[in-house]
Amino acid sequence: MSSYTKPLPVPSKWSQPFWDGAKQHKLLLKKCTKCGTIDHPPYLYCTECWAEEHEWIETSGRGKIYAFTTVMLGAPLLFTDDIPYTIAMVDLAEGPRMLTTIVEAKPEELSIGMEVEVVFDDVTEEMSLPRFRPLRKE
Amino acid sequence: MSKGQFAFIGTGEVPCGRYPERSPLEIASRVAKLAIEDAGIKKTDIDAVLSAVAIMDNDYNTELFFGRLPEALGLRKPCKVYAVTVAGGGSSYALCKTAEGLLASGECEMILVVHAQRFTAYTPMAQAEYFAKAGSDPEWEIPYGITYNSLSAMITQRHMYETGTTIEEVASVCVSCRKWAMLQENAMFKKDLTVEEVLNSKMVSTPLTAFMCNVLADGGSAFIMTTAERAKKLVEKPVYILGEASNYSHRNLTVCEDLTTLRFEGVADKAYQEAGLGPEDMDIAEIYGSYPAIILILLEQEGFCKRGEAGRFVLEGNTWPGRKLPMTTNGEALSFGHTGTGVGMAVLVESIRQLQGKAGRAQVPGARFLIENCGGGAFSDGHFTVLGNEIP
Repeated sequence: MSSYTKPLPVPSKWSQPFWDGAKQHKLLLKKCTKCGTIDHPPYLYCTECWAEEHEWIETSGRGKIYAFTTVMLGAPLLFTDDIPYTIAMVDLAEGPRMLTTIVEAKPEELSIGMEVEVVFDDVTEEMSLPRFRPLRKE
Repeated sequence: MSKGQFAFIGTGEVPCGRYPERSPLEIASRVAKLAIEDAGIKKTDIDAVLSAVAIMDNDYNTELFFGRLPEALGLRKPCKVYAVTVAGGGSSYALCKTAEGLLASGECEMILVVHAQRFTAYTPMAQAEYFAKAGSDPEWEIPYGITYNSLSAMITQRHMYETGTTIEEVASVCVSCRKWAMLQENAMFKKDLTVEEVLNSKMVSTPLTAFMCNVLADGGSAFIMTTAERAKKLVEKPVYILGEASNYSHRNLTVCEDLTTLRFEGVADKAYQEAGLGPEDMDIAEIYGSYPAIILILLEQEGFCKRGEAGRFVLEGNTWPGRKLPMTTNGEALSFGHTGTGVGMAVLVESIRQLQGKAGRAQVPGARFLIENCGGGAFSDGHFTVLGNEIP
């Protein structure tokens, strides 16, 4: 049995493929096959043209930090032991902006515009959370 | 709505702070009576009672939904309508629009609007848990340990990054709000504050320190709304709605394209246009931002400062009592206290008091016109209203 006690995403009918992808360490986004809009968060219909037809595209997993903050005080109870942790908004290369946490870096090493890449945190057997770390140059 | 069609004629308010012994129904009763007395009308004149919700308080809200207020306030006759209107932090605006609709329909002539909140019924941890969840998406944000403060912190950081606004300038907004709260009988925090004290308070979520984050408080307020025609016969200085404009941007803050404007561009301009006035005509900027950087964004988007210049404007003391542009004269969430859906109500009530010449020590001499705003969600929307005690 998992010892992870923090809140987990409860997928909806239309977001389940995102979390299935995350479990396989793939960052997927919902793309409308009528007009090409990529929605994140995904909804039942395309938020642009209302089409229900869509595909899930695999992203590069890369993006840039749009904004970030390090939580020092007043975290939700179950996150108190994680303080300090850094929440960020990452602009994905494919367009949408995603809320996440930045890992494998000290807060003072981070900056707006910094290139980051996804890493998957297998928090339970069923659920993996996409997080980001500074891009490692090959 | 046409310009100057509806008016406010009276207000009521109780002290904001920690008052665990005061139930929401007691608050509602007291502010309602104060507002009716302030307007100089009889309780039998009220034919509709509208209410905001109390955050977290399912028991009180259920009472509201089941029509408690008109009976409890002794307003059964001739009250015809009760309703609860909710738009989070934008509730004051949503309540006004509901009242306008009732007045325009001809069904009602005199409307009482009430807000009451008692946060001290809940532990600080329960409040923190609620606001961590309430402001954030359960699927895409909460699993990451998001807090309401951290959302605001990212807006602050991005605005500073793009505009060159400094953290001292951000902190100076808290100082300005405090200067005004010191003049308010009902404010929660009335001890003078310096930029250094704001910056040296505990770091909460970088770059936001504790004094840049607001404190949940118990409080409540009420106002009376009627048609302009009737208002003129009842009070010396009715406060007219001269122009209004709104926008909705997002639920999840990640969907908002630009955190440095929160997509408020051009919205206040529409309210000014409807009023036939501009920012230069405003005697007061009654801004509800709930966090200092949001107040700076609003100062810029309401046309008082160019982009990136609001911070220096506030740091120089231009928004303090007696200075160039009186701003947020009740001290707002940052100093007056955060009463949930009531912050916007409190800012509106203070706006009405100012234009009626009833703002006590905080009175801006000769104030005729002002712009007032509110918004809710995770900085989801913005509602701008130009008010005046004359119709230009």
